[in-house]
Amino acid sequence: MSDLREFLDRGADGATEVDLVEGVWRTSRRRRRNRRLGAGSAVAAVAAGAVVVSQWGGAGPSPEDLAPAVDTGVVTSEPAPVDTLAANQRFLDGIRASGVQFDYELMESPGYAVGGGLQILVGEVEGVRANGHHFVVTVEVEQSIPDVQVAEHVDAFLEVETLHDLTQADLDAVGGQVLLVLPDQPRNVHLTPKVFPAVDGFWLDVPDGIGNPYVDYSEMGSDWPPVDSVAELSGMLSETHSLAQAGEQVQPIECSASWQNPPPLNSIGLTPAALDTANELVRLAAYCDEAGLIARALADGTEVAVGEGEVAEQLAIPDPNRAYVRLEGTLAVPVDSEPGLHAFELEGWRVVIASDGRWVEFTRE
Amino acid sequence: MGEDPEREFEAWARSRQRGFLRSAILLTGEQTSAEDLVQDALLKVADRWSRLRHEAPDAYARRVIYNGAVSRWRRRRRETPTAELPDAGAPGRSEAWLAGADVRAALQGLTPRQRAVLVLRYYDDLSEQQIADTLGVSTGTVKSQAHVALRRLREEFDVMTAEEAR
Repeated sequence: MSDLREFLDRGADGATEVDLVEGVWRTSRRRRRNRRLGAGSAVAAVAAGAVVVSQWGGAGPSPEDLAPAVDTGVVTSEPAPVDTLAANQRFLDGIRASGVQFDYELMESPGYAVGGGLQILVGEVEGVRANGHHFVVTVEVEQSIPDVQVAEHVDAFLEVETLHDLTQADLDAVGGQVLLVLPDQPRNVHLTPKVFPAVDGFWLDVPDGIGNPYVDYSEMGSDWPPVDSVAELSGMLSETHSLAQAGEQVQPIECSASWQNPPPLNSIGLTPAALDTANELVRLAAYCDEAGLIARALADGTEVAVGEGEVAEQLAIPDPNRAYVRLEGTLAVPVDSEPGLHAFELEGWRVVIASDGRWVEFTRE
Repeated sequence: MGEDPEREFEAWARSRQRGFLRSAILLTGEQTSAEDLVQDALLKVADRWSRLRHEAPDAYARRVIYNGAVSRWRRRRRETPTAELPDAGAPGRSEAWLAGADVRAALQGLTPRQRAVLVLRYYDDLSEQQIADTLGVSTGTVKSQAHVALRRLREEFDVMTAEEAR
């Protein structure tokens, strides 16, 4: 019997020694500078009325700065990406078009979803196949809410009145993140794949948001904050469950209420009231979703850009000391100042405030 | 630490890059992707160095590497299902590298989370709590995933942990 550490070591032995550090600092400095220069275009996009998840032009590594770790001399070509979102939409549209009679009770609230004896599974679609008057969606499970041991794969049955004309190619293209709400908790992890007769909820990422063949998310009621992706939905439900477990009363997350008073400025660009608003925004960011924050800001005439990456990535940055709630220490000192604008940066957050009190940028790297 | 953030960062990064790269190789099963993950992690650490220098740059970098490995795994399995790891038999690789192909293949047979738990626990020597913090899961999940990962690994290889050896 061999030692596991040595066994794993063997898997990395013989790796080519490379310098991965050269150019990193210079590229980082350039990214920071580009973000400042790029703020104008992001703000313009938001002002045009779109809800923007900004892809900062300077966010990616600059090839001329970052030294290539290994020059293989081989040009690799990326395969054409599958338009998963469009395929998901076709799949959901196909089920709806099949004449299915909706018999679906809306979940009253996130608290009910995580506390009503239901099991929420989040994962990746591994495959879809027709089976009689059903579609069977096989899911590779990545997360369970509550966090209990479950089967690695589950088969979810989606009921359909009559089979429709989706081709196998259509079904093969379905993919991405999925969230299932199951009426019964799977208890035996050795029953793999476990087949469940039906689901109480089935959510897929589709263009401009998430979709369910049986109900629109927007019909879920005011206790459900708006979300734009399965990741956001699962994050929100996880947070709801964590709060419930901590014994705190779960309150509806109201992300759409507007700020009544834009923060006033003083000679350096901020006042205590503005700092309070900054901290409030960051506090909300820990519980709320990007779209809600943006909607809230827009409702107040504020323009907001959200940095690159998924919301879970942005908000789940390792932060054992909850450092992101301590913005005010640095926000009191602007890092940059342009005519009419005041910029502040701390711990990956960047806030730009105009002299007239508008928040023109709020980003998290 | 000294006064110059750039020099501080580079000293930290150079002392860590080899360990990060080896862990990333175990997560991804290949060197090129591992290098990209580590370089991306170092870049993100550099972006936040003013904060992280006083806190936990290692933990942050590990999470970036883990998240990146999962994202790559998702993209790859959607786009290019392949039976063989891309650089498994690349010409010019050392005998030691080729000899470790079975280890890398075995790890690729695990789910990303099982693989991460295994590497973080038994290669990076993190505690269950540290792994839970890194992966954003409970310590119970860490224990169960480690158990399942070890069980699956032992279906093919006769390995034991340091605790079992005592």
